[in-house]
Amino acid sequence: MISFFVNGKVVRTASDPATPLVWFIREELGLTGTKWGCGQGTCGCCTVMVDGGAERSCQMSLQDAASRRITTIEGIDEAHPVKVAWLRESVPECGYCQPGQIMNAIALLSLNPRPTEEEIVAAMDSNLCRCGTYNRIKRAILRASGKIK
Amino acid sequence: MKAAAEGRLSRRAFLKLLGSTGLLMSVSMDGVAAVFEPEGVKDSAGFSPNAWLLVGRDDKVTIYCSGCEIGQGVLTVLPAIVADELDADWKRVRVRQAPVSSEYEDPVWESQVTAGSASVHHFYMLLRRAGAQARRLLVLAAAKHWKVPEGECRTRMGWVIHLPSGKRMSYGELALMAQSQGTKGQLVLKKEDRFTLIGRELPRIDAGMKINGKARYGMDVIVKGMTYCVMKRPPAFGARPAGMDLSGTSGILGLEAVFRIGDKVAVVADSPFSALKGAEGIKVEWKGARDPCLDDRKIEGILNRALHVRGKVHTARGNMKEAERNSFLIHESSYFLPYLAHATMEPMNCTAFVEKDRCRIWAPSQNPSAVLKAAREETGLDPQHIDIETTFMGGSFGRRFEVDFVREAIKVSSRLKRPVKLFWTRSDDFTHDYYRPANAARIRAGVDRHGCITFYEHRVAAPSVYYRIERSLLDDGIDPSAVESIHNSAYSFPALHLEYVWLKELSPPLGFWRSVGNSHNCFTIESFMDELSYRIGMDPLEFRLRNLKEHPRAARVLKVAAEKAGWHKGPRRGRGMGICQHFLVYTYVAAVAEVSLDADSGRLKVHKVVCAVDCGRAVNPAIVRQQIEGGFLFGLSAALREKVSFVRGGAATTGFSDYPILTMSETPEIEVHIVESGNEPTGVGEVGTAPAAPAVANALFNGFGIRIRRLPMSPRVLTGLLRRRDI
Ligand code: FES
Ligand code: FES
Repeated sequence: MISFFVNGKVVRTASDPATPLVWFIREELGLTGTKWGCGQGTCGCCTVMVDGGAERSCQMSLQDAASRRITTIEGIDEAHPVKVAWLRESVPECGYCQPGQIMNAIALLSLNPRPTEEEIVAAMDSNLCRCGTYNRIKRAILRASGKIK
Repeated sequence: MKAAAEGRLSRRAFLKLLGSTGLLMSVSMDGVAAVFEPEGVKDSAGFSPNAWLLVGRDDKVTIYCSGCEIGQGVLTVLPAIVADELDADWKRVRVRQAPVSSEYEDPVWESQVTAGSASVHHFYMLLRRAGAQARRLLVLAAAKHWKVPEGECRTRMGWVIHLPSGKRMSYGELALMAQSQGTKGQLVLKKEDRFTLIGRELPRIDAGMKINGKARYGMDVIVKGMTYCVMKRPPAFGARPAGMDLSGTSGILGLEAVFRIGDKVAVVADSPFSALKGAEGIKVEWKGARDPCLDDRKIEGILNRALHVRGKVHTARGNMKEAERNSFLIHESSYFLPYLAHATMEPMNCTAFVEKDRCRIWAPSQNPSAVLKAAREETGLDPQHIDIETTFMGGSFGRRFEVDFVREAIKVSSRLKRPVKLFWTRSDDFTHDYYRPANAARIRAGVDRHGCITFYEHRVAAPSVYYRIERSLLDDGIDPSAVESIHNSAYSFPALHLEYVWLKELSPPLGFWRSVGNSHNCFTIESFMDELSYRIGMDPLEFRLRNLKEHPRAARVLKVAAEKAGWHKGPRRGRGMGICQHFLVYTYVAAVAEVSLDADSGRLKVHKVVCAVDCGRAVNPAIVRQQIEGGFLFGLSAALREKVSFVRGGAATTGFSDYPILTMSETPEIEVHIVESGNEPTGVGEVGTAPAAPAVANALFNGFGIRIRRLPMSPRVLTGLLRRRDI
């Protein structure tokens, strides 16, 4: 039995401890907001927060998640400044990468509440978006950090 | 009319069937916008004069969107057209994805498919009429009720108002009366200056759902009792399994079945992880590759040789010989472009549940008609026993026009008699794509002393996309997509000779890739025009304008892009500036890019891009800009980095690590200017993609004297070109 917290609730599972967290969150808990894009750690669609830091949930096993606090896109309040900024900048196109982008952005801002543009790019550069919403993502993060209104 | 009535019946039946699987939610933008309503919500009682809308007695208006949402904003844009003519209150509009039914077919293509940047272009008038019809009936019903002339009534935001008395009734109150109201007389559409939604920057109705992780994509479908399937796919095109060794799968918990299905092996398990592990553990022996020698070298050789072969003549216009004699200067150049992958963020997948007398499909597909056709063929069931839900999609770019993954899910579910979520791995997605074809082009043209083109000769060598997709469109052996936008280019060619060389020996499967033939022909034509302008010593903008005399709209977007980009001031120190224009999907686009290049590393930086677009009336300018921006970056990604590699008869590219796509650090600032022309709305989705490569390539020549004739412009290629330039 492995247990950990997902969005503040305790979760216990007897699933194979090697199961990547992404599959457990999506298919067992039904929290499908966290996306699966490659399973290779190369796209960032599956990004969640683990103890406040951004992690790729396709690269983390249930075993590694034991006792940790996991936050998914569903665990972020709809009025969270980052989500609101995302709406204001009308970021999503297809939207598939966005939960991962948002989780990564929230993790960045919790470490560095007023990042420079360069710091944003450095933190976000490996979260891919095939629809090309990068400039909007950047603006949304600047907006959430209060740098643009 | 009969068809429409049946269609609506089937829609209700369909909703009932799916009642248990839908999620109820309402995510709105600050409560001032329409909302998307997923499957499973009950129809309210009301008035539904056509397939496109239902005015509820509760004053809510439901609008059905025939377009599939692949990121382009169609769920917001098409319903806004209906709502505007209806004079509905946008706050009370609920949007639903239309089911698969003939009444939702694209009026031009006679098929329910979202492709070719055509949604707004093809549906604009039809949807306006649908909204206007309903509004008229509501007004007639109110006039009858008040016993006043129709002409004294007006509509506004969901109300019919009797002007002289100030009496008003809401659409909901009128719904039942309108339902029994017969029409007479002509349908009158709104005057454009009375539009309330068309032309406004309405926020996308799907934004909130996507931001909150609530939009349901194909991958997110969860059905009770569902099992998971991953396919083991042939490493070489055309190969089939000849033997299997399952010893590597022992001990994999949850593995349920392994069986051969056509040229693949299906691996079924109770979880995605077990299915993936199973697929990894199985060793399959493959036989019969279509072309075991296919690799990058072979492709390059074929492309190089192709340009020396005579092709089939598509167009021969004017007197080439005489035009050559009258030319002051003649220039010739060749270009080579690689195979490209779609690489949608959401890998291919589909969920299906086939029972004896019924079949349900949850398909992330831009081609619902093809999904229905596939389901009928695979199950033998009648359409009324097939329910299809079109889900949200994590990108498509043409890939989800195909239904290969839908057929797979249906086949596996038919065999297991259980619901199955079938998904592709990222590597499957790259190795079994329907690629943008590699191709080569040779262009030769002359100009007179004044910089006017005298003749233009263009040979395109490429394998055929249409040969598999729609053979009947191969015009005497000429693939229409391979030559598109050349014969109907906006430039004036007094003499034109266009040839196509069909590279039949290239075996990778091909498909539509955002902007299709424009994705290569815009690059080759616009690079060549740039070369010509420098050869004759004219400014690239002036040269183009001189040869665009017959297309003032093309000239206008060029001028706007140039002006906004500060073309006449030129690039900043150490940078180059390039310009291009193109006409595609009935839309005119121009782009200016400003770039710099680090000579040692070959690192190219695109600093700024300015696009100007004339797509007729911009139904939602914010979404137009978003599409041009995203489209340009899609094209830029390909231009800078993308190339699918092949080895031993199959694709060697298996993930983002060997097919790197554009990231944030490489993304330029992009400005999009909409040039209003008062014409009917035309395509947008593919428009930004085509000009990306030539704008950047031309900027490189302008700033650094290197001419890109082969894509992608990788750092290695760039440093190579720089070195040769120095000698
Ligand atoms: S799914 Fe985890 S990085 Fe792509
Ligand atoms: S919005 Fe489509 S991949 Fe980012």
